[in-house]
Amino acid sequence: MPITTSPDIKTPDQLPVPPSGATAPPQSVAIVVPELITLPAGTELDESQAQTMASGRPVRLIVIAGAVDCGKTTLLTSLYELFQSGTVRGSQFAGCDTLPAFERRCHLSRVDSENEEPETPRTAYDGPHPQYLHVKVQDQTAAASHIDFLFTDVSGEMFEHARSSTDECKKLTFLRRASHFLVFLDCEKAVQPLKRWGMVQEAKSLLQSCLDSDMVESKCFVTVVWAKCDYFEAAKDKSSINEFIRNVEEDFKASFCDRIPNFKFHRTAARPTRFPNLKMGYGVKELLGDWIVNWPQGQNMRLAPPVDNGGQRESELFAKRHNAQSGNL
Amino acid sequence: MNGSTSHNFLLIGLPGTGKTSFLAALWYAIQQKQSPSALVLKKLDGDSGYLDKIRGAWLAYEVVGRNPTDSETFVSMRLKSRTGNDEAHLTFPDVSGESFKQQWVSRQLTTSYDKCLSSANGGILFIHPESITLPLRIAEVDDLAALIDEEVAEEMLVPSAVKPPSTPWDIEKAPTQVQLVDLLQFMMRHEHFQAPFRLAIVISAWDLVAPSEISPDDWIAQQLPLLNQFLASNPIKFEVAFYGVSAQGGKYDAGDMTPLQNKLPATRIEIVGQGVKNAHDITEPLLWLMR
Repeated sequence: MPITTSPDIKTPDQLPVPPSGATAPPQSVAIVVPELITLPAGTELDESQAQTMASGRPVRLIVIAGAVDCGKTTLLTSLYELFQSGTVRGSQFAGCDTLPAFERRCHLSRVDSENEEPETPRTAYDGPHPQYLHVKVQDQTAAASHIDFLFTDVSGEMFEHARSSTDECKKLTFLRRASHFLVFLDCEKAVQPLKRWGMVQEAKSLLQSCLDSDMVESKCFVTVVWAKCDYFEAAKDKSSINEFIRNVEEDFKASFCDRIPNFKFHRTAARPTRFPNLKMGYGVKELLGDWIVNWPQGQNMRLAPPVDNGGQRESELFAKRHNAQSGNL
Repeated sequence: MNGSTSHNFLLIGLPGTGKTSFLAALWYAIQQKQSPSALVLKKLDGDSGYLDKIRGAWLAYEVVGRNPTDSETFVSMRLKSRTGNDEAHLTFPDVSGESFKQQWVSRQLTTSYDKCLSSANGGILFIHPESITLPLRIAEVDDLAALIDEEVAEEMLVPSAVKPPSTPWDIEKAPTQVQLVDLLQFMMRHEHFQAPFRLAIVISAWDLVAPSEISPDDWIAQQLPLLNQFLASNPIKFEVAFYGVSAQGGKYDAGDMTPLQNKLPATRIEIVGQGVKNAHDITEPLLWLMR
């Protein structure tokens, strides 16, 4: 993002900027009243800004989908907060174009808000126009030195429309560019018998709609996230909960596994409040690890090893050893 | 340094981080022979009124006045090596900390500072240990409280009936490390940014930190981990060295000033960090920048 000069601001004719040439300036020069230049706002990126970023460098888009208040934004803020206190599973924070946007979202969970309990501001619905947050990381294990992530931060209402209509779903064009598609299951509702199956059905319908409208591509990595899993940990009837989880996961697998090659389940408690033994960002570090290691373009680069032709040349023997170590044979 | 060279350095820092105190002590150090510094003033050249004024305050153990918010002072010094014939012409804008704060808050910078960014080939980033805003989470504070008192831990699981209204978000109160990362990102995005940009990280008022016997780089890693990660993951953009500098030599309001006043002015200055040879030589970060 370039730094731009405000069009209504005139540059002073003579600025007291030290020259790099040979003329000796005085030890101290006059005081001036400064003119101003506008810097990037650091707010959420819109579709056009996100596409501009993606056109200039490889960007991994993480789409986070789920109902209203299921913890989508909290997952993002917890990742950002984890970097505030150190590296995350060997990944270093390397930059962010949306720092003020993250800060605004973190405010209600910080002491400055004077809240008694941490909260996350609700993301407003503004039609099928996603907002994006950006984080750049450096991972020691990844081939790329820096990895740019764009995360959607959209209201649950956007996905309510999409799950009820494939036409509405087709308006969410960003889905097609997703490296990872996360569908949230809200554990807070899962522990309530009257709400649990409705919540599961809504998530299934959303995934179904995205697949039927061809908006989620087969190479996309899809993760069904049991969000706020501290509710599970705090539940008294563990066996009933475990049975419920097993039934839901089997149902999802039966419904989608043949259509989604990269399909898995994961548990997170981004900001656990019900079970103190879980720490902030529970399960989020593993998600980041998954986003770093697995991405569609990376998959394409995994070339199949050559067929063993029985050759005994040094290069052929080396290739055999190398492929065996890499698990390619 | 080889022959005569010209350097434009930036002094970067949020309000109250010790930029002007550093300049005041530097202006004294390069003109004295009590504790020989590696760099000395070659010759006076032009109006040194501003530097003389802040040096006067420093010598009188007075807090060196901050630069006014709406002004920028451009400082220039002709220095030479104490032992050789190498010369350097250093220039830095003594921009107010408020001006840096405005970069984060109002997302604006001054045209004159922008011009300095264009020609800068190094900089010093100042951080004051007592003016750091931490990203304190409610849950973090609750966890600490619960460690002390089990009753508190139980109370925290019960939501209170009446919720007082939240204080609105104020961008000015964002964590220091977040603001500093964005300041550096603004620099990186500048079209004339010269990478790798040499950046000396100076932790001022080091006398406050020194008793903990921690090194400046470890202190940054502990206190400002986001900034530390950002610098470590961008070595192509920034080449960094860490210093702890006590330009004043101690607190002026800490009661008995006699020990401080008994020192020679130049030996009040204390510096630790990468490759420091003389623990009283405030020109060491400049030497590193000029290498």
